[in-house]
Parts: sequence; structure tokens; C-alpha cells
Amino acid sequence: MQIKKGIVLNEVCGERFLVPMGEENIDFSKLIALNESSVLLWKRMEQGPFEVDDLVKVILDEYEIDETTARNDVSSFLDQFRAEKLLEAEG
Amino acid sequence: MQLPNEIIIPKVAEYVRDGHTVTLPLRGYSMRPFLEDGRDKALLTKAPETLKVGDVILAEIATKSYALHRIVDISGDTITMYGDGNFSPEHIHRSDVLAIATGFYRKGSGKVTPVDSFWYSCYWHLWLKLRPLRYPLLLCYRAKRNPREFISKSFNKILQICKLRKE
Repeated sequence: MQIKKGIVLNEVCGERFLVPMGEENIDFSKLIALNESSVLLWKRMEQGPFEVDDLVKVILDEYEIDETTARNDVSSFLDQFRAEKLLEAEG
Repeated sequence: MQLPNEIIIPKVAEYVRDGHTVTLPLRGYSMRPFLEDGRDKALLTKAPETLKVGDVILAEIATKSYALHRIVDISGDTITMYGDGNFSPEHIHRSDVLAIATGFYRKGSGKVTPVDSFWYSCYWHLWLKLRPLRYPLLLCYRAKRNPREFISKSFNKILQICKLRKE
């Protein structure tokens, strides 16, 4: 899967969040707030197509947590993108 | 996860300045009965040179404190704005205006109500005229919106008053 084009990372006072940029309109109701670990996930996601396993690996490489927890974290993070229809299948 | 307005609004203002339009989910009760906390959204754009009474604007009312309220008076560079659901105005300078609302998404509808629509104009003209009756009207609105909370709060208030009398 991959993320839709035009999602921009914003940083204000140390808080980071993503907003999808439409052609002219920017919808702040689709804002996704990022914490430290989701910033790492985002960096991987914006590089190009990814699988859930790739993201789980990113988390496991950085944090000492078990795979189940990492997988849950990744999946709830991706759910936010799904909810706003910001993910698409490759191709 | 919700971010506080002091984080979001500066970014909204920046995008609007750059010529984008922004859809902003609204918080708070100050624009009742028309706009509801967590339910409605405003469509914002760069404010034109000349603003007029009735315009709903996003402004910085104090350092890092923001409000989306209706203009009720303009004299020179001083703008008086008033939340539809409020009982006191804010006085701001023209330069505190960050954006103007061109429409609203209400009740989860994907369709925007533009500010030049007929019914919306009727609403705000009438609402400003009814300012002396605002308190009872807003009470009715609250009672209708959340009857249970309204009844329990009123009951508590009456109890409090009774207690005070006894003492």
C-alpha cells in the first residue's frame, strides 16, 4: 500500500501533525497528530510503497517492545489513514 | 487525537495567507445555536480588504487565543465581534483578523452552507435583532439539545438556591 499524494508534515511548537493538501482546500478535520514513534512510521511511509511488516520493523528497530504491541500500534496508526481515505493500493 | 487550537490555528492562518482555503473543525459553544462544538466545520479563506457587519471571522483575540465570531460593529480599524452564543463582545484590531468564513458544514453534511445563502442571512440578521432575548433563547436551545443534562443542572441550581436561603 501507499499513502496518497499531498499529505504534508507540519510542525508548530514541537507538535507535529499531518494535513492532506487538496488542490486548493486544506481539510483540518482530516488532521493526523503524530507522536515520536508515528513520526518514524511516517518517514518510512513517505519514502514509497510499504507493507505493514515494514512499519512494524521500523518500530522494533527503534523501541524495545514486543512484536504484538508494535503490530497493534502500527495498525491503529494506519486506521487513522484509512478512516480519512488517505491510503491507496499500489499501482 | 485532538490538537489544541493554539497549535493548529497559526498553521491555518499561514495556509490562508498563502491563498489556500481551509476547512476547520469547530470547538466550543460560542457560536450556538448555529454552530455546534465538535459537529460543525467552517470553510475559511483570506479576509477581503473591506469587512462588514455579519461576517464571521477567525481572529486572534489575545496572544495565542483565537475565536471565530461574528462582526457586529466596525469603526475605523477597530472591529467588535460577538459570538452568537455569547453575552459579551471582543474588540480587536483589523490586523488581528486571520481569515473569513465563506461557508459552514453543519450536522455532518458534506454540503457547504455558503454565507450568502438566503436562510443563513435570515438567521444571522434575526439573531442579531433578538440579542435582548438571547439568554432565554439559548436556554431553550440547550434544553432541547440535551434535556437530561439541562434538567439535572437546573435541579442542582434550585437545590443550591434553597440551601442558601436556609442559611
